Amino acid sequence: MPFATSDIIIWAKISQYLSEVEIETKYAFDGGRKDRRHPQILYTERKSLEYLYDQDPSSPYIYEVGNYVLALCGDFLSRAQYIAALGGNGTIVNPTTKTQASIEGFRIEEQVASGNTLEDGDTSYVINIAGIVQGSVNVVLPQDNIPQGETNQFSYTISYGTNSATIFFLNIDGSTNYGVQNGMLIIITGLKFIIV
Amino acid sequence: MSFTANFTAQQNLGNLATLTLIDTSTGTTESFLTARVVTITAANGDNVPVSSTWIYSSATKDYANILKKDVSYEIKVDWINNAEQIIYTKTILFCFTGYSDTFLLNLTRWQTSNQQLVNSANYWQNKSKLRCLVDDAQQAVALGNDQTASQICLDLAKDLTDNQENFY
Repeated sequence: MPFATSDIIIWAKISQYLSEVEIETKYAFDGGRKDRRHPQILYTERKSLEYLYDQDPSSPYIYEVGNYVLALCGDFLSRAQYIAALGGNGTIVNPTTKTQASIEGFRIEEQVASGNTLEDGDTSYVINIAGIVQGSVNVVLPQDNIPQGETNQFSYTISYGTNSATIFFLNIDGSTNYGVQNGMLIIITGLKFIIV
Repeated sequence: MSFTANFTAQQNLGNLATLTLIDTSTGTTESFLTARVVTITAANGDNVPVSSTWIYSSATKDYANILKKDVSYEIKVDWINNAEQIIYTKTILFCFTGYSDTFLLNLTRWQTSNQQLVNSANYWQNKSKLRCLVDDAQQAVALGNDQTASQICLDLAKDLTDNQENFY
């Protein structure tokens, strides 16, 4: 027999699930399985194979029972083998690019000062990072850097794009948005997809 | 590391009637322990007679002709010292389904040479019922620690294996 019994047991478990799904999602005349007992048969015969394998892996009967279970997997076998071969841990997929990815944190510190990226009075800041994770950006304003004399509540909103996020600073007094003020240290943290 | 008393029990395919107990205790071996005393209780509350005590120097112990059918047994092992004082004790509920499993396996082997058997009247229904009863018996012990429910399932399964001419 070309296959290991332990592999057949794994493939039978996956095929049982695939068969169950096919029965639930397809009708008999729409390419679906006609024998609705198939997952149950696969389960029962696989359990017998498991019992034999646990008790005596070198049993002379293991080939015939193993081949029978393999035959029961039928046209699900190749898919089961493919799924089993994927193995390992689950992977993260970037929903935009549909490619396998990992997630990494980023941190940006911007001091508000003349000549810097953020200058006094700026009301927005664009983060250009490919694969930025929606909803992950957080803005921190360490208290010891809050300028004195401002009585307004400082807050922000964020608009996300595919490869960027724009932070809008709200520092409103009446109808005037004063934006960020000199001396502020703005810390921006977030997550991004990275290609692996 | 302190001594943690433990054991496991198994039924062998070669001789389904023989119960093998294996000491799986961990930690430093306690030199004052001399033997283990085994008590087996059936689902109806009867004590199952066991032949002898299990000396401490031996890690395994076979009890012949204990498993005459599929059963759920509560097995208690007491670790004792020279003065026959119980130092450690451990009680575990086990479900032994070797007879039914072997019967199911034989039905599967029968099917390998006659794959249309699953379409014979009542064959599949009864085989499936037997599989279900065995699973139920095992789960009653593993999930519910319910010896009575487990034994009821095993007795129903026995009816399906003892009268095979009527069911398969």
